[in-house]
Amino acid sequence: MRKSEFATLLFTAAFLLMAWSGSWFEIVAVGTYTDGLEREPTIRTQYMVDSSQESFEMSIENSTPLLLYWLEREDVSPAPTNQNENSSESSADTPSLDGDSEPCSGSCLDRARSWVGLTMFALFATLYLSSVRPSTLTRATVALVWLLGTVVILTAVPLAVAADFGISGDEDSEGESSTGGFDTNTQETVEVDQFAHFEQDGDMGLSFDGISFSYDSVGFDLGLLAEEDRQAVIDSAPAEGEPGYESLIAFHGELSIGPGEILTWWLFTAPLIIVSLQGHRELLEEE
Amino acid sequence: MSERLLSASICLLLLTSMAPTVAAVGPSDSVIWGISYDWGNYENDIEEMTGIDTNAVNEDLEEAADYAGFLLESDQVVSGMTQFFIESWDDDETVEITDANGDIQEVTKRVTELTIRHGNLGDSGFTAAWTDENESIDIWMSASAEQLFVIDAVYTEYVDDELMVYGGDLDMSGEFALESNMEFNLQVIAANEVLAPELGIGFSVSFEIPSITSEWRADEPLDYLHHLSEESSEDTNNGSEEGEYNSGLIEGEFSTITGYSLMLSIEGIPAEDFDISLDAFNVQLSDSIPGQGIFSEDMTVFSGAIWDWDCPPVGGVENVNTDPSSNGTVSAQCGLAPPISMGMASMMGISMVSALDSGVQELFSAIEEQVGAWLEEISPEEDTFVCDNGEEIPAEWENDGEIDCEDGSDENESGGDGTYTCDNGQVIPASWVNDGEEDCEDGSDEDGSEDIFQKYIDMFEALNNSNLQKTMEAFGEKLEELIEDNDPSEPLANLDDLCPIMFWDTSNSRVLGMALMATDGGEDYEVLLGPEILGVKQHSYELSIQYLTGQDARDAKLDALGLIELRDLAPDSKHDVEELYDILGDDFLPDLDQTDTDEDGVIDFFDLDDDGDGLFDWEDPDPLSPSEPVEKESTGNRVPGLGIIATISLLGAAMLVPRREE
Repeated sequence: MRKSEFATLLFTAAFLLMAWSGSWFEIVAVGTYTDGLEREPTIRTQYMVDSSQESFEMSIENSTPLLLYWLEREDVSPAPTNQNENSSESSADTPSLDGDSEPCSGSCLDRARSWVGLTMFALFATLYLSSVRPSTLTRATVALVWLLGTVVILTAVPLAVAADFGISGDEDSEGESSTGGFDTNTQETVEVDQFAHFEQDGDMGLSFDGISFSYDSVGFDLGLLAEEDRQAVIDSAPAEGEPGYESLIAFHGELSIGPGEILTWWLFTAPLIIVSLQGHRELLEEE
Repeated sequence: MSERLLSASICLLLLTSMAPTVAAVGPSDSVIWGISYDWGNYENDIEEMTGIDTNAVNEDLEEAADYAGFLLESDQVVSGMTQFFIESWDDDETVEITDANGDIQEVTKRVTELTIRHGNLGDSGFTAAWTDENESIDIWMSASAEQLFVIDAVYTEYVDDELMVYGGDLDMSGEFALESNMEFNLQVIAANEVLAPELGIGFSVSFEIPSITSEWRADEPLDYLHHLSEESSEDTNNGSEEGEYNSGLIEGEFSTITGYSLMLSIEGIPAEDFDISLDAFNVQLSDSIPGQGIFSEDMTVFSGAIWDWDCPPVGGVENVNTDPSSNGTVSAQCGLAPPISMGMASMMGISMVSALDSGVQELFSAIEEQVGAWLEEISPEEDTFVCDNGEEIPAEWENDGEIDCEDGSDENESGGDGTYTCDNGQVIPASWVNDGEEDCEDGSDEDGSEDIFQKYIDMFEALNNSNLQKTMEAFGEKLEELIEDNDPSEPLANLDDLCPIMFWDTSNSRVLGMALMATDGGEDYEVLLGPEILGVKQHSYELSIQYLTGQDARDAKLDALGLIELRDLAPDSKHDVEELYDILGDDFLPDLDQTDTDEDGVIDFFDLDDDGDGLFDWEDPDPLSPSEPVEKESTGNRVPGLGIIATISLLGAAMLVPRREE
């Protein structure tokens, strides 16, 4: 093995170790109540997955108005019988989610971790193999394993997280919870039952860090109004200074979902691998 | 203007610029007294006062643990400073004020300044490690607390020649802050299972008062000072039967900043056992609420004194040395009297309560409600079963072989005769349902909840069958024996007989100082803390608490005025946690800087003199660069730096110096 190949292997191993020990998947959400509450309370949440654990951090700045808001608002829910039915259904569903119907019995992330670990090991092993036994086949295998690893990092980990959370399809409970005081049921429920004149706007973008969402909403929180005052607000949105205007709540949230540091370190291995494979090709041509 | 007159003016300007710039210091003939305590000597003082050696108690704990067969190490560190000063003086210049009725009154000022500085750091921790053949328990705990309390208050009371009070003005600022953190790590290995939760809890509360100013004008002149002085031989509850004066309004304005932070972090929880997809959880709430406003309240002054109070041999009238530097001995009436004017105490109380109303009550009620909600959330909910007719019964009554719902719907899966029908049609006794054993062939009689706790039951049983209990019994017996052998030394002061006494100046109606008396085991009291009282014995042992009066107090107060941050009062360099670090390891100080500036083998964080220049870090202006030791500047006679007036004056003087050609 040539010195340059040894160095490449060494750096690849180091980058793989860094990738393994960094964060694998991150959801960062920041939500601010921009209107209706004093001093714009801000909620920051970060969900992070790495090789050993899933961690969740939440901080609320200027929390007093938000705490008071949450405590003071009344839940304006539809008929309680329906709610009971829903809750009993959901409680009945919970065991089944954790049980047979849940893919990989709630341990999808462990499987994804195994895949990532295997892929990293496979990359190093095939790179080593291609160094000691350079051939077109081993070179192709290295490239294939690297591509496979990229796919695993970009899709398997987020999908495993989503599966463990019980999120399927377009439901994104993390996104909804970032709206803070807004109801986490369907948007229809939010609009019709909790807020009057509810308007929302969302946007999605793609960046190197991952996918980012922004969300804005504004509406009159009926839960802040006395029962007899609600209908008037539902009938006509109060202007500033009019009774009921104090229930206006506006929220701005930003959420980003990305693969974390693992992708950066994984991508760093690409040039090393290209250089290494290029060297092998020259060696093969010489032979 | 003649050159001589100009030169004289410039000299006057120069002299003016040399005057001390700190306005919050009274005149040299003021009455001042105070107390200063260095918390760094807390353990020694406790031993002197009570005879209990806290280090010996720690050693007993460790020895008892060693005898019982496990490892236990603990330590605690306290450092910081507490100081307070009361200074008062009369300003003889007559001023005019408008009283509550709009009339102009000619009065003089009685000024009282209250200065409080308290900063304290506390750290404690312990580790315990027990191991048996297959089981082990490791505990690691660290706790810290920080306190800061700073108050500066200036009270001006307006009186006439007969000490009748017409009102007062109050200016005050201050800060109160408290922060506490605790980390607890546990690792239990038993029954081939590992449980290793890590818990962190922290909170901080702060209340800052950038300023409160208030003004009180009495409806009619009050005589509480007059009466306190006149009737100095008996209990004095004058003015009204309750010793209470209601007169006029107190009006003022305030600005405050109220802050809090709550933190909870949990790691290593067996989350998967409870179907929680998280291993580490961290939540933090914080807020900083600015407040400002005005207030107007009825003014109430409580006033009174007890003059038949004595601490033998001190009582009646005594000669007290109120200024050791000038041997200023004065005659003082002994008893219990308010240390500051009760007008000042009332104004401070009413002003503070008004400022607290700005946000603190709302804040604490919100926290209380939130904590209540959390407790409700984490408290185990009673599982209920809803019958088909809407009736609710405890969940464990479902399918227990007895009909509990009126419509019998709680037994719909059993035969109603104490049997349970499995999903595969097999019939088993209802009492076998969820009993931890699968009785149905398809296992449908068990919902799995028993399995979750079985692990912990097995761990508990494994620990129960180990020698843990015997170890704890042996530890308790040995500790009892060691503590019995470790008799505390004879305390030098008998704290059960503490007796406080105040010294009252009858001619000026103010407290000249105070003393704390204690017996030395005999009948007579000696001065534990206080000024020199002629003919009365002072305590003979070493205590770090100092009573300061006269010029000493004036100098100490001047130094204290600049100490407003916690680290000023309790510098990290004085807080020696090296022994605690030896016990708790890197988890205690995970980011410890290993720099050793003077290369003496002790890293700067633990080194009391980082640069090795002979000056302690807290006294060294540049603790990381060796410098020639300099004599400590006497703050009482300090020469100010070149100020702007002095600069202009010097330039002016330079211009006036005749040139050689002239």
